[in-house]
Amino acid sequence: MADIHSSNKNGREVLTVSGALTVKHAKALKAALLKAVQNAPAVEVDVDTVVDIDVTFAQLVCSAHRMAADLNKQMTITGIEQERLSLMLGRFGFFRHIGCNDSTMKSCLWAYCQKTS
Amino acid sequence: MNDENETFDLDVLREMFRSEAYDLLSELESALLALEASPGDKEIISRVFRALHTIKGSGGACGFEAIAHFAHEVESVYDAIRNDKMAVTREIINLTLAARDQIAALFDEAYKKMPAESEVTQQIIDRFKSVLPEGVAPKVKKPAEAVSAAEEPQETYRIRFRPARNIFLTGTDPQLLLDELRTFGTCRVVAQLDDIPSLEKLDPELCYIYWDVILTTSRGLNAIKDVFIFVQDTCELSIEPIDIEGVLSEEHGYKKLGEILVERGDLSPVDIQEIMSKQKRIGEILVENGLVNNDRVEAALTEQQHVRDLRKNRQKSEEITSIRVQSEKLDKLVDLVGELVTVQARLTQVATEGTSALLMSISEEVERLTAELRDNTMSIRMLPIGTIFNTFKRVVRDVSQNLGKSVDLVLRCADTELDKSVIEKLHDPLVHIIRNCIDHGIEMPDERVARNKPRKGTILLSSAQTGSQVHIRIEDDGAGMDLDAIRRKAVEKGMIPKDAEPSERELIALVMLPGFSTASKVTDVSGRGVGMDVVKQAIEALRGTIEITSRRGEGTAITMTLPLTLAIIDGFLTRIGDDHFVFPLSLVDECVELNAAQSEKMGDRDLLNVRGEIVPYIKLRHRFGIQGERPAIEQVVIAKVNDFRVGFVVDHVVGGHQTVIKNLGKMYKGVDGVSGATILGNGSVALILDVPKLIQTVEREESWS
Repeated sequence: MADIHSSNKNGREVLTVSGALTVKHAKALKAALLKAVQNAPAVEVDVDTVVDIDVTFAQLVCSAHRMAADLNKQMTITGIEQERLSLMLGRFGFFRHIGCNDSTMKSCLWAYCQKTS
Repeated sequence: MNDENETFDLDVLREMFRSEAYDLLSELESALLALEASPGDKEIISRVFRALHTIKGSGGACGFEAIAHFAHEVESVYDAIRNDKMAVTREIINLTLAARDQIAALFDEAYKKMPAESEVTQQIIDRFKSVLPEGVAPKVKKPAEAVSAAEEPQETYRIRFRPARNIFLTGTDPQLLLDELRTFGTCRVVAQLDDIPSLEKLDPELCYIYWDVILTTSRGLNAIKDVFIFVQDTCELSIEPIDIEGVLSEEHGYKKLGEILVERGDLSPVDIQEIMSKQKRIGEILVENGLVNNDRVEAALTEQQHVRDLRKNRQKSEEITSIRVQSEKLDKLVDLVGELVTVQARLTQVATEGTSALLMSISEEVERLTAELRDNTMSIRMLPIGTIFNTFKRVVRDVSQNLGKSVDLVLRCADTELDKSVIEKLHDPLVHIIRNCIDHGIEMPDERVARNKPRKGTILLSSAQTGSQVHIRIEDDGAGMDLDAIRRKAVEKGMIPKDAEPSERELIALVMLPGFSTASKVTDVSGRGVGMDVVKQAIEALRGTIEITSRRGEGTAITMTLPLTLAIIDGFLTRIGDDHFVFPLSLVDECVELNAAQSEKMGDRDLLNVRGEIVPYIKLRHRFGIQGERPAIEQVVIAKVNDFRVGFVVDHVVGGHQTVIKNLGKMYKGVDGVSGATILGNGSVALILDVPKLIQTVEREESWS
């Protein structure tokens, strides 16, 4: 069960997501991300209370981040640094030193993920 | 091969595994204690897993099936932990330590024929099963599989896995396939993100990601293919070996980034040539030129790092080569070197007494070689004292937990080396002292806070070497000794008269007398009135000394001074009549002459004035009942024990002597003041004096008289 809640904080659109962000809820997350990135000047995705993620979550957030960068908008993610989530992202192979293209070069969301072997 | 030979081979294998088994248990224990302090540390979890895995694999290979299966059960729990399926808790640590002890008991049963309680194994397994979260099915291999896998060479593969876009809709999670690969060995995974479309076009239920995996495993190509068996018709999969242990690993480094990209087909050789002419970092240049994206570079760098690390580690393990030798063989070697030193002394004596220059020259050469052989042999037996220091961490943990106290053990200078036999005999006395420190010394946490001390007590265990002696110091920051209580107890027990005014040092020394304890209650840990006297005896049996200093409210420090070795020591040879006696040279402070007039001057009390200092002395001729005429001028060898100088009167001083220590045998076990014997160059026997014991005996006799 995932819950996506949207609010405004100092002009930033804050998407607070909780529960399990897996393929089951990927459509809902995409819709919320798309709306936020298209409409707000800055987007913050708060995953502090997320208990589970899968690859669909990671690729959605990546895509949203690229779109935000192309539109010259800022997108950040909070709560991702917690060990449980960062280890999962590391397992998916999402650790990075730099971003994947020119627009996200310096702001890659996965820079803090842990490499796991 | 017939049955008899198979049994023989297994016995040989078991014996070879013996010391490794105990090393593995020691590593397991220290890893568990480290894990308790940092429960989330992946590297330490891997250490625990590796130790259990090797016990399982090697134990199984040696025919210790019960041990292998037990280790397998425990390993399963750590497999779940390293895969983030459960967390490390205090209970898990306690259970694993109990499991470690049970494995040790099972090894003891096999090697030392000491019975182990077999039902404990099942009890521990049941308790482990009760803490495993529901649905956690460990994926580690059974012992027999583990053994065969361990024998195969490690290969490294480059895998690119591009699943079908609709993989999620078929109910398959690609992550589970990657997780399964991770159980095969060392694995690095890099997700490739360049196919992810813009958000508007992205169908969130499709998979746009593909993966580059570098895997080092001994499982073989077919096992890797089997992982993808259910998706192989719909996915793009390439698996290439890039490093094979012993075949493709001649170089210790690994390919350059450009070479990897060309090999992967991500870049053409022409492009790399052109780019190489520019003097920038290859990865930057390639990305700037749009030839590859950052993800490809990241994957190639990961591969490069993985194989370089692998080869570096392989090279490192090849460099540190050593062989395991049974300690009995080493003891025999030391005995033989001892004999050789004795024979060499005889040869030197004969050569010195004779007139042959050739014999003299040969004798000198033999003397030089013998000394070198002796030093080298003795150095083989030397072990860093840290080998026992580390085992005390467990003692501190268990005892402090038992007493509800919080105590840190700090080890310092654990690399000081001591003879193996001394180290073995030090274990029990040190355990006793540490238990005492926690029980009597360190206060309860609340009490410490009330006294403005850190809540956690500290025991500092350190060692240092000076000359041929090693000093071991155990220091705590606890309550210190209550000298008034010691005094009251001593009076109560009749150890000192009511009106006696003993010095602080004398009071503390009472603690080491048999039957002395000030503890108001007897605990499982200490306070039964046996212990410090036994500790003192054990240290003295090692020809060492023990000294205690204490400051009320601040703590207690116990210093042990021990000889580096028990096999050959630097001695100081003396003679009384026709008999020879050896003093340990480390205790000898100086020699002075004693003429008849001087000794008479002091009357009945055997005291000597040495440059204004009054030094008590013991007449060894009288002590050992040696008949015959005393020389007009006798010699006094002044020894220093715990900063206390005592003289020993002998007829003549011969000088320094390499002393090979021989036991006196059971018949002379009870003889006070003599700790062993040695054979001199002329074949006669000299007694080695136990100086501290001699002083104690005389002190006791004087106090009785």
